[in-house]
Amino acid sequence: MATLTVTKDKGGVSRPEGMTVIEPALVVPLTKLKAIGKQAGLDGVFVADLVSALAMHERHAARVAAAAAEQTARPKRRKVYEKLAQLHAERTGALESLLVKLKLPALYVSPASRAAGNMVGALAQAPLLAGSVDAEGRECMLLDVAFLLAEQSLANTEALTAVAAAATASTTRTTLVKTAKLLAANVALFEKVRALRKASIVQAARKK
Amino acid sequence: MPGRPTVVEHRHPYDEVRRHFETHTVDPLSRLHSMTILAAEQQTMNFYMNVGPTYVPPLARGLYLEIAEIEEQHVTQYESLLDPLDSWFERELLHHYNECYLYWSFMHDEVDPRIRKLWELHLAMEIEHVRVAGELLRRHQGTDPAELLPAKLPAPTRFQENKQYIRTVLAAEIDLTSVGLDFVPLTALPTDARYFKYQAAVNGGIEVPSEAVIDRHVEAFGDDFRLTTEGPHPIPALRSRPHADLEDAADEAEE
Repeated sequence: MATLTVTKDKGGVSRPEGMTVIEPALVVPLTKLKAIGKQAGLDGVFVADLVSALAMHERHAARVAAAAAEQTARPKRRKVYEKLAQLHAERTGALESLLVKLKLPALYVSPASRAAGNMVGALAQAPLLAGSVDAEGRECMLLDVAFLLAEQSLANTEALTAVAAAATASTTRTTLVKTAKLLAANVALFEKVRALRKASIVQAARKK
Repeated sequence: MPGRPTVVEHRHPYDEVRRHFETHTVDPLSRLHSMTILAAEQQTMNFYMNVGPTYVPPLARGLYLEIAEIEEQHVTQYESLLDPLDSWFERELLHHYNECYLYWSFMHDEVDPRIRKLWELHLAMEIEHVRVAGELLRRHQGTDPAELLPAKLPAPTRFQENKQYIRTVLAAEIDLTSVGLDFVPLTALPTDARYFKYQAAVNGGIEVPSEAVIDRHVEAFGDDFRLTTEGPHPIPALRSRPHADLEDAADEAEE
């Protein structure tokens, strides 16, 4: 089961950069990160940090979709957001499993992962402007945020697939390919959100 | 007992920011302590900044302003320990959770049943605040507050004597200052370090109020109102009245 909020109690580990202080026992050594790329001809630290960032994106996206489901006044749209939350959570689980298969902690939070979380956090603030827009505008913002996060998930899937393809034959490559395929097999909902957004905008424009 | 003299405390703002904890790995108690010390410094800064201008004598106004600037430095320092990644909704929840933790700690320590009931009352109010902040977090961020908070409250903070601890810290760290993010011995600074330039800009050419007020006190009452109950000041240079320090210790022992 995916962990949507990473804390020390749940097993969060990381590696320090210039401004962060992390308990030594919770630091993932660079050697461990480098090791995953050795046989695959990849930069292990970059790949580990990337997978961690993809997982963090999905975590935050799952939570934002759940918040959108809570806030929308439209029952049909609520169902879409709930399904999105579920899908993002499943993807989080798949990426956590990938980290474990790469012999890394499931809750490794890389510096890139922090940035990925911060980016979603910034997007999620858009609907907080609800007091200065009408109900239609608020629904549009909720959908826009869900759409942008879905688009990022789609792009992340493509990026992971490409990284897997760039690896040389190794267990790391096999593991990356399997997860990329798993993620790519279930993106119909993301594509549906794009269509839903377009239809929603057209419908709103017609009303006027 | 005097700590680091105020006159040497002013540092360039570049040297006041510290590295921060990482929100996904921080120990819950470290987070709470960081928030508590920040809140304490914020209150202290507000006090000096708000009360200072109510005085008429220039010496009092200057003293409050001088100390207020130091407190502002402290606020910057402790605020920078918090991970900027935490969202407003998370901070709101954690703020009220910390208040619960503190009232709960006070309640544990309190021996007077009447006062204990006050802490209980405040704890009850803060628990409700945690609930409301948790609802906001859930609604606007989709985060289950129970997932963010520790499974149980950390061990309570105790209100206990810390004079020896303070003396040890003073003895070990009084000559430290900071350069950028790091603490360094003052003696390691080059003569053109920005610390000295900042000191000269802030204090240069005058007797600063914190020194002047003590001189006035000694002149009027014969001492500088220090109370060193645990023996002479651990820093020899700050033993302005070494015999009196010993007398204080003797008086304390007699009591």
